[in-house]
Order: sequence, then structure tokens, then C-alpha cells
Amino acid sequence: MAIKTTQFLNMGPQHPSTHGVFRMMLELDGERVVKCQPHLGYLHRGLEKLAEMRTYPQIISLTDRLHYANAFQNELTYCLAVESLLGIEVPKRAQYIRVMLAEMSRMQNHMIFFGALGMDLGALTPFFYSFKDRETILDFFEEIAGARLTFNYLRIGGLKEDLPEGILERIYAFTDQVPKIVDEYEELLSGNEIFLARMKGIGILSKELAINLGITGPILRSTGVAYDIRKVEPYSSYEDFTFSIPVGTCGDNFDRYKIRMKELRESNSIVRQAIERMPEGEICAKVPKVIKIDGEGYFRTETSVGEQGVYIIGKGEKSPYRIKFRSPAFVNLQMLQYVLPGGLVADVIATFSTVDICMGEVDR
Amino acid sequence: MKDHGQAHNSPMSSKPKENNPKENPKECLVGSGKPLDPEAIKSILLKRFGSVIEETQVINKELVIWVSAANLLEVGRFLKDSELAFDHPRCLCGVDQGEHLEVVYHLCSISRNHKITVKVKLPRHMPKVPSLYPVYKGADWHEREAAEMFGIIFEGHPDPRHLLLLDDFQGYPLRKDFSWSAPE
Repeated sequence: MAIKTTQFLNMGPQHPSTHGVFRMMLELDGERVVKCQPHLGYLHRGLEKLAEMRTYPQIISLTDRLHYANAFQNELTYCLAVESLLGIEVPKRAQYIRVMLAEMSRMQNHMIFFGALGMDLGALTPFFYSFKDRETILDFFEEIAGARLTFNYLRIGGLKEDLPEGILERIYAFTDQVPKIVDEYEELLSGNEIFLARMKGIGILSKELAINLGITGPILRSTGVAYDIRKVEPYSSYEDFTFSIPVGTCGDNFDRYKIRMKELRESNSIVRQAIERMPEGEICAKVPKVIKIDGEGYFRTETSVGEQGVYIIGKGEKSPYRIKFRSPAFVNLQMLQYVLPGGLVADVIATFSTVDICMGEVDR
Repeated sequence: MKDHGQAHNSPMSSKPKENNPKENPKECLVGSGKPLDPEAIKSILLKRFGSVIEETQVINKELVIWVSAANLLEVGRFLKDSELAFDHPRCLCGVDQGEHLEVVYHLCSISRNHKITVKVKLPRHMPKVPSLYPVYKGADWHEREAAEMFGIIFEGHPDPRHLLLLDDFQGYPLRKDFSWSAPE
């Protein structure tokens, strides 16, 4: 009777814990995962092809649709890429507002992460806490940009319009409370015994593998590599701000969670610094009426998920000849094939949740 | 769902440990080596490979080199394992340049903090290039995407199925001559 049999389990695409439409084929030996084969493409919209048919300013609204929680950061990456190809100097005030908005969206992304992680592990309460606070940030976004998720607020050369009156004071008042809010979050989960049992020592990613796979963002930093593009290659005046890069030690689920909680505090401090030193002045540079690019370049920024890259090839036309969105979640998701085998099937959810993906960004 | 936490306590101790990093994480600090400027990288590469590097150019303070498909694996191995330490594959994409196709590799080094772009020109009728998967595991999905979007054949790729498109999708949508009408 020593015949070894494995069975296949199909997970997704319509599974509440797959954060969208992600499917994996798990090969199981009892409760152990032998192999994991991810399947993507359920949300593929052909953004790169669509971008080839649009003018440069029109593409900003496409980049919003990559990641619903990172829309500001994705707009920023694209605008920086076009600006640097055109050689446009963005006014200081616009740069600071961009940093402030990028960090606020990093905060709300990590809040979603926290709520969804708790929910995936069977704890519903964290979700209500974090979504209540995320709502406050979204209200600020709505007031600033007129939309809650897909803003279309950044422009090539600056911003669409200046901030509404008095909003900086209110954001500042909110940032006063954030350390207390994060303490509250950590009290809910960080010491919970069940939570720790499902996070500590599970889904360990080694440093060498992470680098070789091209993984970036909090996941790379959780393995002990202090790599953050905001420090390595500062853009949009990030060199003016003081902040530290939280680094993990062993790259397990708990490290990935802990890093995001620390980043929440760091982002909050950047928002405060930006408001304290907010310069006066113009919000948009002088930009040619019709934007045509001749040349190519790859530009990258650090979004909440990792390195967001935009590779633009322009051939002197009104629309790009080729545009490639290098999305961090697409690359980070590859780690599942290496991390899940050997673990338990119930850990699949926990590990998957700490990768923190959005399928819109993976499938593009 | 609540039972999960309980069910875990016992098997947790028997987790496989092969992934566990043993060394001190402080060793791999970012920027532990000095970054090289594009000219220095270029001279190291030209000294080692000579005419294998078909063309070089500096765009936006970043070195771009052209190599032929036949030499790509050798150059890739050197870039990763030599003192240049290009350990981090940032991005890989295909480009349809009209008369020929192109694969563009964006590499960077985490330990030395410098960057390079490698380009390979491929003939349109037979776009074959060796897979970089043996050197960079991160090339896996990027290559599958470039393969389905441009019809580029990555020789030696362990899993050359479609990634984003349907399994039976006909045509290469990111090529410039792709027809939007339904296939007959």
C-alpha cells in the first residue's frame, strides 16, 4: 500500500482570499503542498497596447487603473518618466504635494493590507479598524482630486490644480493620531497567539532568491536588504526628507507584516515633514501644448508594493511607440512557486496575503 | 476558519528549513561596493568580450549594450557573477522595431548600485533567443509575457506556456502588424 499519491486542488479565481482573480493549481500530498502553479491573466486589459494608441497626457488615466490603492504613485512614476525625457523641471511645491500624496496612498495601502491580512486569517475586527481610518484618507483624496480611487490629478509638469484651502491643517491633525492608530493595530494582531503561529517562521524567502527573482519593496526588505529607491535614487525631492528604511531579519510572513506596520509610521512622518515645509509657488511647469518624445528611458519609483518601472520608447510621435509597465506585484508574485512547496495548505492563504498584490497591476 | 490556528501548532515545528538564511543579514548591505560609471562598466565589458559587444551607447547616464542572441547567456553569466555584480533583474520586455524584434533586459546591482541595459536584436522571421532563466530566475514570467506578446522564442525556458493570454490565442498582440479583427 505504499503508493504515493498526490491530489490537485484548484484555488481561485473566484476565491475570497485571492485578492482579485488569481488562480493557483496546488499539488498536495496530504496537507503538504508539493507544487504550486499560478495562473494569471483573468484581468488582462492590454494596457500597454491601449497606451500605444493614446497621447502622452491621456495615458495618466490608464496608470490609475494599475493598482487601486497606489494610483497616485503610479501616476507619479509615469509623469516623472515623461518629464525626465522632456527635461522638464517640476516646481518645488508640486514636488512636495506629490510626495505627500504618494505617502498618504502608501499609508492607506498598508491599511488595506492590515485589514485584509486579518480577514484572511479569520479575524474580522482589524478590517473594520483599518478601513475606518483608510476612509479618512480617501476623504482627503476626494477633496483634493475629486475622486477616491482613480484620481487623474497629476499632470505632466505638475498638478491639475492647487490644494483646497485649509486641507493641509486637517491632514496634519490626522497625522497626529496615526501613531496611536498604528499602536492600536499592533495591539490587535502583533501579539495574538494564533496570528503569530500562522506568521512566524512560515513562508520564508531567502535573500539570495529574493534578489535573483527581482523582488522589490517590503518583501525584499523583509529578507534583510535595505533597498529602497527613495534612498538609492531619490526622485521628486525625497532627498529633502528624513526617514528610515525598516529592514527584517529572516523574510518570513511576520517580517513582511511588521515591515509594513513600521512603514506606516515612517510614511506618516514624511507626510508631516512635507506639510511643515510646504513651499509656496507654482504648481505646474511650462509644458509644450503637444507633447512629443524622441528617445527612450526606464524610470522607477518605490510604490507601496515595490519598484514600479515605466519603460518608454518614443519616436517623435504624439503617442509612445512602446510603453512597458514593470509592475512590482507581477514580479513579487513569482515567489509563491518557491515559497509555498513544503508548507501546509492552510499557510497558502497567510503567505499569499503577505505578498500584498492587486491583480490589476499583475495582469495589466 | 477559527480552527486553523489550532490545527497549526503541531506541524509548524516540522517546517522544511532549506530556505532559511543562515548568514547575518547585515552582510548584504545596499551599496556595499562602489558604483561604477557607464564608461568604467563599458571598458570592463569590452576588455572581457571585445567584439561580442556589438554596440554601446550611454542613454540617461546608463550604459546600453547590444549583443547577439548567441552570446547572450555568456554575457549574462558574466554580468551576474563577475565583479560587476548585476544581481537584480529589474525588467525584461520585447519591442517591435519594424524590420526586426528586440528584447531589452534592464539589470541593476543591489550591492554596487549601478545599472545596465542589454539589448538583443532578433530577425522577424526567426526570433530565437536563449532563456536567461538559468541566470536570473526572475526572467521566468517576463519571458513568458514577451513570448506570447511578440512571438519571441526563448530557448530553454522551463515553462513556455501562455501567461496572460488564453491558451489558444492566435497572433502576437503587441506586434505592430497585429490585426484587431476577429480571425477568419
